[in-house]
Amino acid sequence: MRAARFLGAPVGRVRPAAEGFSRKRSGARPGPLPFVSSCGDRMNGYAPLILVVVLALITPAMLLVVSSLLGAKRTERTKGEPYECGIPQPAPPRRAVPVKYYLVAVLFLLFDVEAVFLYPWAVVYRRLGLFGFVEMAVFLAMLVAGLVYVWKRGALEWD
Amino acid sequence: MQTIAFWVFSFLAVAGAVLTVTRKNPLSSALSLVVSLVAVAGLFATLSAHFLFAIQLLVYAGAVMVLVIYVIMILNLRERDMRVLGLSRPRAALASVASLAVLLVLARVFAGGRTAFPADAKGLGSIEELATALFTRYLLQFEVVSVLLLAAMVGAVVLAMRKF
Amino acid sequence: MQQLLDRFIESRGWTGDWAIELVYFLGMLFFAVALLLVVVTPFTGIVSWAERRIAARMQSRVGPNRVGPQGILQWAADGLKCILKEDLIPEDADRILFTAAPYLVFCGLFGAFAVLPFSEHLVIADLDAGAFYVMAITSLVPLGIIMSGWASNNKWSLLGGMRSAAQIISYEIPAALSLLAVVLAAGTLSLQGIIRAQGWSPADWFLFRNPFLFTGFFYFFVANLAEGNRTPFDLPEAESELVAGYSTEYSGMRFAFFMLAEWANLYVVASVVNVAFLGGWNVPPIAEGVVLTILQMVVFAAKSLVLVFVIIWVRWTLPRLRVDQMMLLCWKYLVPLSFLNVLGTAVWMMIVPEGSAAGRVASWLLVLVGLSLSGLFGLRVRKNLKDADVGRLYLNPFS
Repeated sequence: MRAARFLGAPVGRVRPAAEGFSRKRSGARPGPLPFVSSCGDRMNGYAPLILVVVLALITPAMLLVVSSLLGAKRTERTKGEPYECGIPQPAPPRRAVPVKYYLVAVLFLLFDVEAVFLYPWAVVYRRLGLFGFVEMAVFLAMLVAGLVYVWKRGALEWD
Repeated sequence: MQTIAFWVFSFLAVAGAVLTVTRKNPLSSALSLVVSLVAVAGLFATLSAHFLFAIQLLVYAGAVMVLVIYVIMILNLRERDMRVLGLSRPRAALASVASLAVLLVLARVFAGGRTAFPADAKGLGSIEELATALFTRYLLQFEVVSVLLLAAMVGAVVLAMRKF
Repeated sequence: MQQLLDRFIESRGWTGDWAIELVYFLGMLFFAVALLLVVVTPFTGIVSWAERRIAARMQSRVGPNRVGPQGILQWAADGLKCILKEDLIPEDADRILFTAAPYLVFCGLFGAFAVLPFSEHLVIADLDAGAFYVMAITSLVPLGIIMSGWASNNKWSLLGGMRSAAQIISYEIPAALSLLAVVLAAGTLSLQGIIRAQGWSPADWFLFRNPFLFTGFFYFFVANLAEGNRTPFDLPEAESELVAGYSTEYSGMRFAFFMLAEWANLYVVASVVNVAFLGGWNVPPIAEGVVLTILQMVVFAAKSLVLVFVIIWVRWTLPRLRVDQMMLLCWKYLVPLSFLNVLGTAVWMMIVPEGSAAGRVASWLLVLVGLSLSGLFGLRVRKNLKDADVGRLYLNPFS
């Protein structure tokens, strides 16, 4: 194993290289897959995550409490005013924003969903082989057509 | 541990959902919805559905919520506007109770008494399993999704680029 | 991490679910707290100091050098100052959203640390969907940014927040697609799995695996710069235009959280790039056991820190883009090109089987290309220095 690694072949629990591309199996339903995740018990893989997130919530909260205990407190009327170079704010700032932001958000959402579909494909691409390539080419062709349409309509211009 | 996590996440999900419909400020509602969606992601995690957990966060809590917030801001919705749209309070309460009842019935029908966690879910929620099913057995559905995405893209552009 | 705890439980001969769960829980708690206290806080602090020193050097200034040796404790002083400041909430601000927004940003970035590996066995959680999870949890950041911008009731904040969120979500697409090419080559979403699929020698890195991944590295890096609101994509916080963008109205500790998140993001970006393209913690097999782990940690940290330095370097070198240029770069260049990358990688994997002679030759050729690019860069720097006719170079950073 060490010799193999020294020659440059990466050795690990996941051995995709060994399977390679087998044209014979493409199209057929692949056999049982190894369970890659290192988590034995179901929840244990995520328990640390939850801990980290809880810590990420508690830490700022605690720091804010400390800050409010130690920090200065002097209320003045001008302190509560919006930041503006000493002049009163000319107009209420919360007004309608341009619709182009909506367009960006929709495009992001659509391409994000598409990326979400691509990820599992990337994981099993080796097993699917040529078949997998063709099906993804069809999928991508549709989306690229969409991108071309959006582009031609000038929706990508930001003015 | 799993059971505790389940109850905590369920509580957060329901509380977030309730706050979403009761907040007056639309953006506060949006924030509550984020809490609810993240809690649902947590529920997926307790079922070891890795992939669903990640997309719940990525697509719903991330992408969809950004879109929702943008739309709220584009329309410049305020509390006063909400009142114009408004259902009266008793009617809104009635509507909520009715939809809750429908949901409960549906849950009863579909869950059919299965309340416990699946006994052995090893590899069930893993990405490999999901991907294999998606790209072999459900191939047609997968390709149809691309058409759907294309239609959505064209629709959004047509709507947003219309000159008023 | 899991294995360490398993070994601990076995050594005690404990059985029963409660004992195992308790040990796991306490172990994870310990590790997470240690991570927060030992790694994240000082790292972000020291990087903030390093960035100011480097910036100062690049602008022929001295930078902070008073607190501690060479000013290295500046961050602690700054943090203390922020704690002692008043926590100001503007009168017209939406109180709930204003206070909640920093939590979303902080949580989004800090949550990413949970899956970032430090060595082969040292990682809080090696998730099945690790690469995906990083993208997912950091997608909470734009939400927090829009919320803070809107809640502040200040036009600078609102503009900054809107711009920032639009920028982050736009660049998420090329970043996701570039990372996809890596996942394609690795065949797994677990960050540890991606590292294992590479090797210690540069020719085994994904950066040099094929020409598409080579270019993908640059797209990914640029997209991540933009997602972190770093120059040349720092228009949301453009001082000369928007005061401080979405964080204009924040002060004291709440402001510090935004800054902390920004610097923590530096490390997240650097180590994700490291994991995806630069071989992560892979070291030549010359050691075992604890020494191996330490070696891996050092290698991983070194690669990440070099990337952090590059990001800082870019920030103080390049001017800022305009909004339309920024959007143009993303949607008209990076998105189509990274699409091409995914397809190219897929085709490459089909034509050139992994581990084949052709693949290895290609890798080494790409290493040569990389080296010659660096060489070219060096020559260019030398020529520029000669042309600039600077009197004396202050190369010592501590002078």
